[in-house]
Amino acid sequence: MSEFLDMFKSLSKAGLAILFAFFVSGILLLMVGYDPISAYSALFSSSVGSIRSVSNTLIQTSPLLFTGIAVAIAFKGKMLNVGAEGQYIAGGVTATYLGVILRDVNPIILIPTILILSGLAGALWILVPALLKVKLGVSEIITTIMFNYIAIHTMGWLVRGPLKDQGQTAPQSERIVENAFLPNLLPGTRLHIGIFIAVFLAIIAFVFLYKTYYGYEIRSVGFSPLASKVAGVKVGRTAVLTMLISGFLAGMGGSVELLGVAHRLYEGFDSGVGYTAIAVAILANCNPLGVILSAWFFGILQTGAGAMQRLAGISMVFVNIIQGIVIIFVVAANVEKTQQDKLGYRIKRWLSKKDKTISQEVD
Amino acid sequence: MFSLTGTVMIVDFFQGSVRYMTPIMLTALGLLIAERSGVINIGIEGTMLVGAFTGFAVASVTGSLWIGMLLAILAGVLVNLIFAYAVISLRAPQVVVGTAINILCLGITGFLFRGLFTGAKVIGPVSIPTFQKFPIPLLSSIPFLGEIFFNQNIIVYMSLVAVLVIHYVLFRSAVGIKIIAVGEHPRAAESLGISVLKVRYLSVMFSGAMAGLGGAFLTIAHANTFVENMTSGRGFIALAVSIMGRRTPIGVFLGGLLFGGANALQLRIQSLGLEIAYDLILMIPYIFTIIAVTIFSRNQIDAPSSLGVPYEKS
Repeated sequence: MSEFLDMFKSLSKAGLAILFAFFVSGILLLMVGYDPISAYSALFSSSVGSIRSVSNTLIQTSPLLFTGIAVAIAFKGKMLNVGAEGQYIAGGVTATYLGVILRDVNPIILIPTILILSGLAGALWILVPALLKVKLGVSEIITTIMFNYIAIHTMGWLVRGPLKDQGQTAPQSERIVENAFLPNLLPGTRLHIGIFIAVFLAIIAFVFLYKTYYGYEIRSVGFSPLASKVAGVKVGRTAVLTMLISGFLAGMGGSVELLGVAHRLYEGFDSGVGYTAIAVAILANCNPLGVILSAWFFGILQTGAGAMQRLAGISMVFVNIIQGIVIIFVVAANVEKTQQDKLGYRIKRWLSKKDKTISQEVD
Repeated sequence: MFSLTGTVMIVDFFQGSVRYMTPIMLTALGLLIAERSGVINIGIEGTMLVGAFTGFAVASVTGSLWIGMLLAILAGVLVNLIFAYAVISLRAPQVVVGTAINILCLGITGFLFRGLFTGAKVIGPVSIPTFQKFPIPLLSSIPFLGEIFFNQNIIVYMSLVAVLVIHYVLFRSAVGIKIIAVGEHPRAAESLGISVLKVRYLSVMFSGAMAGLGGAFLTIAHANTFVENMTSGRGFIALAVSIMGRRTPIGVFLGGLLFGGANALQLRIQSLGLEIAYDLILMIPYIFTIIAVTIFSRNQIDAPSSLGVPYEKS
């Protein structure tokens, strides 16, 4: 049960950080001459104020949830995947291609096929950074970021070239077949089943990380690659596996967004999801169950950002200020806790014992 | 044989490379100091963005590019001070805090630009003058090199001087030895009476100043206005250049030139109007970065031993 107690503690810290961030950003709004009350009421009424807005928020939540779990798993294994953005695009591109060419396939076969192949495309997109990291020690931070830019420009090329809908002047792909559309959840809204898939995967990810041997290996490599190696874990293999799982989830997120909402590829399809995902994961202290809540919170911010721009003329990136402050505070508050983490403690104790035996041998 | 127009084009090409690389090089020069002291900062992208915006905003309001530049440097220091507090004093994970800083800075600059320069309440003009070319007498008349390096604007010269100064400070002065010692073996440095935390704070703040200046170059010496997220990955590329240059100023200078060249080449290919898709050409600098980082950072043998590891006082 201790995971749940920890979650409750993280939750209250996150709540405080969120309140504080809204307060500071409100002062900023005042200073620039906006009315914070009407700005925030636009934010919340458009994101949680009605059934329609709740469903809009949930639509924004699912891509963040997929990429958020992706980043959370990677970070648990200390693989710093800053490239969820690129993997998400790789998934979206694959889903577009398959959704356009596979014309007469039954949805029951078509949709799962596309989701899985898009996930594999996401995994493929992180394969090079993963191998460079494990084989040559090249920082995955830089390479995954660079792969984001490569993905963005590849997508730009595709929607202007090979995948372009010739009937349209705007650079966008053809629309995918209706058989590939994700089923709608709520008539009258655009809410699709993607959010269920995402929540389901979050639960699976939690069980995988905390209740299976592989998950344990990933976390122990995250705490100390050296200790894990001494204990017989194949560190390199685990690291690559961690990154591939992460890329798979982000890629699947891209295809869910494409099959569920966008239905065609266009430039800006990614809209910074992969970077926000890092914030989503951190707010939840990289716990996949916590990620459900934190993705929802970021979904609220994303949905509200649009309304704030339309109704109050405030730049959409304003919510980034709230996000940034929340993360800095949560991270600062969690520092002590990370050091007391049970697994970390056990590894430390075990290492110091090892140390003693080694030094005794030397003596 | 080069025709006259051919030579002019090549000089243009290199002049363009130097201009493109200046913000990246300034930032990378600061980063190498921070990294030598043991701190890696991917939030530098955000620091640059704040420098770009501050330089623009202050120049717009006061009408002085110099005041704009000065405050951009200060703003860079301030952003990195937040970063330093979180990762050095609180020992928070560096990559996470860096990401948060990037998100925060993207938000603040975009929000303030829209709110103060294009919205209902406007405090200054949206376009500003920029630092103009300022040929250095004698040096600028050196054939070829003169035109490329010494017929540029003032910030380009500052970056060239910075290469030499930082090289001297890092490898020939007591300050440099302290920085390297703190990065390689903080515990030993502490026992020699060097304050690890202080050295790291100052190194990160210096890096903020350089990134602030680098960012400001984009607005007050290049484009004449601010655009949301206008750094578009230059901070990340600076991180790569620092690794590529093996965290030495001369190496960063050469690495920066290579990058400038790659980018200028990309612009050149675009202007030739070849049948290569525009988007594919835009990828060149990023692919180049991956290859370069792979070649130059294999196994990171030369990385400071404590890079990325928070220090706890004993």
